[in-house]
Amino acid sequence: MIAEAIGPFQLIIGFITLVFAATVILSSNPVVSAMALMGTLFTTGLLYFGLGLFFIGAAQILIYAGAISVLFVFIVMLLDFKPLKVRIPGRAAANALGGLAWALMLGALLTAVFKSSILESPVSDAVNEAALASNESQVIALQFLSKYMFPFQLTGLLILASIMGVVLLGRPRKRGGGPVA
Amino acid sequence: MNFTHLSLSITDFHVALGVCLFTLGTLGFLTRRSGIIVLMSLELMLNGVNLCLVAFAHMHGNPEGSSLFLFIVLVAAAEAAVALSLLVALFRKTGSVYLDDLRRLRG
Repeated sequence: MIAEAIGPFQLIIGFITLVFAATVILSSNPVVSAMALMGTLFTTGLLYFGLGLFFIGAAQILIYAGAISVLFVFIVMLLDFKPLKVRIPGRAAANALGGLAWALMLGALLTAVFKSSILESPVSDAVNEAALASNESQVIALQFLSKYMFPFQLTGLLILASIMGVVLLGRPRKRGGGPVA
Repeated sequence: MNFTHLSLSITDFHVALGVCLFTLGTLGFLTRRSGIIVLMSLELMLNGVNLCLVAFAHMHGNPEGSSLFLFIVLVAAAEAAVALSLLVALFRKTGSVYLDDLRRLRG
């Protein structure tokens, strides 16, 4: 059973998501930003639960809110934040321009979303929808093992390459030219 | 712009929320000076795009959206790991994570 109208659950969770996202951007303390990022990713996972997509919501909470944002928290704790060395003149004006650009982009995108015709004629497939709602993880597993087999393996290769890059970048150099630990 | 005639469907709601998350991430990416918050803004943008993708997949009743969602999450994980280790290397080299301090490439 997939809900087709938004209820108070979606409204409240969506509002909390936006508050957390604004906190990530506006907070001057990086620890607060990292925790707010974790909150944003978690509440987005709750929104997926509200859509009836339980596997996706669990993956979002486990991988995104559980692993990636913990990585951010670790890095925040690893680095100590000193004040800026360089003051670039005109930064406040640049921030104001950025805010203006943000308002324009948000207005344009929301207008595009609400004025477009793509949302008015959903091509709903009842069989697919039932399959999606009932055994969603089975559908995903079948796709990963048949249609998306090659991209799935390539993703594994990508993650292996990124792990090797991280090890290479984080390795302390012995002497000469490298980063000073 | 007259939005009053529209009843907010579940797809509209999630796509609008994803758009808000994406633009908030763009704002943070463009205006913040701390490198780590720039990376967090990048994650916000990816999260907003993911929310839009899942909302559209839900609208069409198409289970392929869930697979693509997982691909995006995996690529985002790899990206975050590499970017954060680059940030740590920069911090070791210069003692600062603020992108305004890293102007020596300008010559």
